[in-house]
Amino acid sequence: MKSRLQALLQDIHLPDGRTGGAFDWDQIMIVENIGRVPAPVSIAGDFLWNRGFKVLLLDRAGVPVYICKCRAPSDVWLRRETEIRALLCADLRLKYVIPWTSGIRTDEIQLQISRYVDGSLYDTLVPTLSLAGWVASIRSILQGANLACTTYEELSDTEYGKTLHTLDVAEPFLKDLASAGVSRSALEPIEDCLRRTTPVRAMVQHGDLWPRNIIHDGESWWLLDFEYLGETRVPLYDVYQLLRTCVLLRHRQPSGAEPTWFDCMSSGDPLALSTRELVRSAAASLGVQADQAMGCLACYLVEITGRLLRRRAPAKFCRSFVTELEHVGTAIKKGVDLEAVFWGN
Amino acid sequence: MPRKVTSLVKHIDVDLASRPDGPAITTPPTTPGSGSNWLWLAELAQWTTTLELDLERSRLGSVLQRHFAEVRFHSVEAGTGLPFSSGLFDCVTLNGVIERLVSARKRSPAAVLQPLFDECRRVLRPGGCLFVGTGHLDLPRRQSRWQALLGSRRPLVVDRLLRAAGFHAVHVYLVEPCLDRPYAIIPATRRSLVARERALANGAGPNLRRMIAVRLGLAHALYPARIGLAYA
Repeated sequence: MKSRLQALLQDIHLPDGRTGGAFDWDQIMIVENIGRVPAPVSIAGDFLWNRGFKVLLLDRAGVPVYICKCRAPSDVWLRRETEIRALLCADLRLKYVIPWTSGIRTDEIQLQISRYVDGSLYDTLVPTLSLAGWVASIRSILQGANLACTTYEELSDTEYGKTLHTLDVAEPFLKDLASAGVSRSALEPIEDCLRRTTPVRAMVQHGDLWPRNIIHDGESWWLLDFEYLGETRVPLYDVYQLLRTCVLLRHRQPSGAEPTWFDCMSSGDPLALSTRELVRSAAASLGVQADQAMGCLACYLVEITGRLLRRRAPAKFCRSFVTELEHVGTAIKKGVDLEAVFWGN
Repeated sequence: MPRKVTSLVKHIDVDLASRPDGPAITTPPTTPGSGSNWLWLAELAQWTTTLELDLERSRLGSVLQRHFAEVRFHSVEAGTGLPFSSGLFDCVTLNGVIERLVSARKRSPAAVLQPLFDECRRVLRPGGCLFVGTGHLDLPRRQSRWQALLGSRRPLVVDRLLRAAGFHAVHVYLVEPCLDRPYAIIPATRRSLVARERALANGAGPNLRRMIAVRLGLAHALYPARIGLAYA
């Protein structure tokens, strides 16, 4: 007899030649179980309502070999991510960037199965790496993310425009932020900055590139969570997201107090200097000029905050982005040169 | 942060950053009904009828209805005899019931539970499953792992009684943090428990205290609840 999970997995042919149904009862465990499947229709205002659980599959020696995301069949984000990952992991160029992934869907459940990467979350590594080691890791990760994004552009049928104006991208989010109560005195200088930015070449972005979506197995940097791939095409969005989250992790105080990225970058310490160098080199590789890069930065801050509010993300997450946005807006208003803080010379 | 932004998001202020492997037992961001996901692990021959047994009232009815065509409830408050013909159900549930039952009867667990398990075995179809959830039903109060190890009541272990009732296989899972909102449901075998520690270490860095507890066979200090799936 098989459980319903085993029966579902039976139809999936794994890269090691087995089918997913070949696991004994104690080789299957439920982890990160945060919502029931089948899901309730909706829990108003709860952004987790359609999140189900994960399943870890073990080999006979007890080593985790596959991980499954199990959610409601109506979860369009998981469906999209599974399609994207299955497409990309089949490309040999991404063999060491995106773990093997497949999926299956019934009326009750949708399941994404992928190879379990037995490595450390980048989140745990960032505070422990030397500055040089961290810089090297960022370069490798950005290289992998860029390869995934350009490969997706090549392989997907979607028609993407060639250029974009950052103000056009940010405008709807600016309206959302204003109506949510973010001060106009902070938003107006940011809007001015966006208005002054010349058009940039549109580039597909990962959209959620931060240390909890990156795993290092000692050799490769593996990227996860492609739900939002292509949702934004503002160049350097991923670069800013990765650098901001990493810098804040490296600045984390034992007390839990968190400075803003703007504060960290204004300090001009070695970490800030290295981060500016990373921004400059990433921009140079994409053909983005300094003033455009600052427009993209303003757009990134507006867009990510707006998206988090739209997704009704936890207040803890939103708060730090709103604070960041207000700090940057206030600084521009006071005449602070963004280029000096985030780009340097 | 502006007041309007705060009010927009405060009603969903679940703390994603809280992790169940921290220095104290924290509240994971689970949503109601997540406790029913054990049903994906149950090995049932068919999914037609289920019987929920509890003391006062049905608590699982709405979630069981998502999986079974027919859901019945019976209160075992008055006695452990079940007024149903033999081989009627595909599944019977005892979710957080047996400890309360033993406590109410003031007799030994075996004296109270053996007749109940015999009855559950009788009303199950061949290939049916009895779910027995013991330990913390709701989220426990905040306490350190050591307090959990030294001070807390252990979930009642009834595997021997289930086998004595004629169930041919009993699959035991350890649950964290509670039966109603289980963030993790881990088979209670060494390879599974060690594997979970490995996965947690990958995600949050090694936790020596957890690993020692598992290696010493003290996993119950980490898992305040327990599920037994007994097959007829």
